[in-house]
Amino acid sequence: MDIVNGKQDSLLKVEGLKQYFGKGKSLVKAVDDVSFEIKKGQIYGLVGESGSGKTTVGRSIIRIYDPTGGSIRFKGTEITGKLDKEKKQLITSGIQMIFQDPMASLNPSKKVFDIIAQGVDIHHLASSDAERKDMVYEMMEEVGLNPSYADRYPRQFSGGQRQRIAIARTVILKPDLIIADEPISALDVSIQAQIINLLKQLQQKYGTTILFIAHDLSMVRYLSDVVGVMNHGHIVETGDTEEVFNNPKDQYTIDLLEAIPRMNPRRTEI
Amino acid sequence: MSEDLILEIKNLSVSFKDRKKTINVIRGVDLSLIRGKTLAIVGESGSGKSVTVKSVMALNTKGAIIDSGEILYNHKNPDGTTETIDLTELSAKQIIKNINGQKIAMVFQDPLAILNPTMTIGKQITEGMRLHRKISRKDAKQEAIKLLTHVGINEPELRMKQYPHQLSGGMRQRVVIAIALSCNPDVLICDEPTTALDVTIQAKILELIKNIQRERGLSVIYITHDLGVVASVADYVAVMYAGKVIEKGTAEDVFFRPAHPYTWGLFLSVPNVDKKEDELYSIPGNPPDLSEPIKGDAFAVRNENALPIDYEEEPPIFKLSKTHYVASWLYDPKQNAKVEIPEILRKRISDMETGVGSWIL
Repeated sequence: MDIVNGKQDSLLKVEGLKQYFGKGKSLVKAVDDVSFEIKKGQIYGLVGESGSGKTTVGRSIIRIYDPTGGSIRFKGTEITGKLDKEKKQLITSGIQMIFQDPMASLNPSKKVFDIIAQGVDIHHLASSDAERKDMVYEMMEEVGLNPSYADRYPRQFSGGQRQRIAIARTVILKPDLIIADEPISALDVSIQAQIINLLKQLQQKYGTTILFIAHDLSMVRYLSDVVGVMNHGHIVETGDTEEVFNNPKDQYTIDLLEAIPRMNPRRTEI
Repeated sequence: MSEDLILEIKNLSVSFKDRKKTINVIRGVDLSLIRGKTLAIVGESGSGKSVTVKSVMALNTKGAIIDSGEILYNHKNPDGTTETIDLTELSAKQIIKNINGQKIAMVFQDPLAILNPTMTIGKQITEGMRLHRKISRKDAKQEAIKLLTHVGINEPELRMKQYPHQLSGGMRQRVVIAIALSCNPDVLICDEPTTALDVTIQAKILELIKNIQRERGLSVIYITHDLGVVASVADYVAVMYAGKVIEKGTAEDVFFRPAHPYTWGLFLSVPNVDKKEDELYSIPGNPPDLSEPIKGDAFAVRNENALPIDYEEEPPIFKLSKTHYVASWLYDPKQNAKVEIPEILRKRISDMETGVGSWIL
């Protein structure tokens, strides 16, 4: 329903992705033969438990790691292997990431204004100082931060507000793809809902494609159009979110869904 | 007093002081735990849920001061007589020596932070037994092996010789539970016991605690922010916000007849995993800064339906039924306020009652 109509072309296509660490006896196949596709404007929810490889997939795509094997096509261009200047440019301007812990991902010695403006400067998105200022203030407003806080430092904000800063500096670059790696798991319940609604609202406004990496299945069901379930480095099941949740096929998916404690005291078995 | 209460917290206030300011973390909490039952304390970070139970065990960090209140522990002697101890009158030293572990034991969120990485599992389980119960090394070892089997650890003899890093997260939490049980406590306090664990492991640990409780007749306090966990373990629920209990009752009271607007917002902030929902409600704003004095109802500024009096005066506790209490002016007959549970929540509750959407398979 949330897919932008008529924009069904592929934005990211991952095929047979392998990401191994170490060698010999200590070889870890963190991601082993993973394939999935995200269409333009979609939210793809990648779920799994710790150690399943979901975070590694995101990091391989944005090339924090160099993939061991397989293919990643972003906007039709292969982005595995050696990167030339153009491919690097394609990744840095086209893909942005939001991390779990905003306190660790925001530079504590920089003011909020400069944190949000940094990408604008790097990618030369503003033609004048006035435009740069306008862009940052507008973005702050949009993510629900009072622009009068622009001169404050990350530590002066609550966890939820810090995640808003992280979202602002990401969305201001208008990337094609946002990789959000557990963006709410460090936040309180009432704040989680605020951040998820903000992500959804921005996604609808800009038509951004999102790879939403999470372990919280109820949030994944709410937010994602398509879902992939990871276990031990493999995607064991992928498909339309409602289809997977209503009619899970893989035993691991079934176990995972069954294990979630339901918010209903009359359902006595855990 | 008709009910058999093992723990009563009465009008407890705790503050943290440093040179610069005073933070009133707990602002008059009343809670009681019925012997053999499970009470879940729900709240977000900073709501005071952890500080409340840490006050019971004198585990608060330096600078925490109990400003007022009583914490009554009703201990049943083997001969059937009951002895009441006010824990606030004991020194931290006395509590740690005589109460903690033996009468009231705790299971923490992160087993790696609790277990000593340089000590074998066996040594860590028997340490408390040998210290408090003065039993021989051999007996302690035998009992430790029994305990490990009891908490579902296979090859207990081998595990006794292993170190924490050699076990998985779920196994470590089982060891922590075994340690908590090693001195036969009456009360088990579980502070976010499954937050650091994966959901499939979480289900097993919750079941384990439930079984142990049943077998040993333990009284359990859970502290958690996970409403799914609350629903599956709790007999009684207390919801905390900004250092106060704002609603308490049986699990049925709170889940099927939630009364406080904060409770409504909390429930609605979690999307339904069993049903597609088009909208997700979120409570606006942030929790208050407790170093500033709070006027009126602490939740008023985030409450879309706040009454004028909410900004002026702190609401007392209103009794809705024999078991259900709420601190909100909405229930003051003099206010003549209309209480309207949000429509989405009403729908969800009726789904829960009829079982729709709560079974997926």
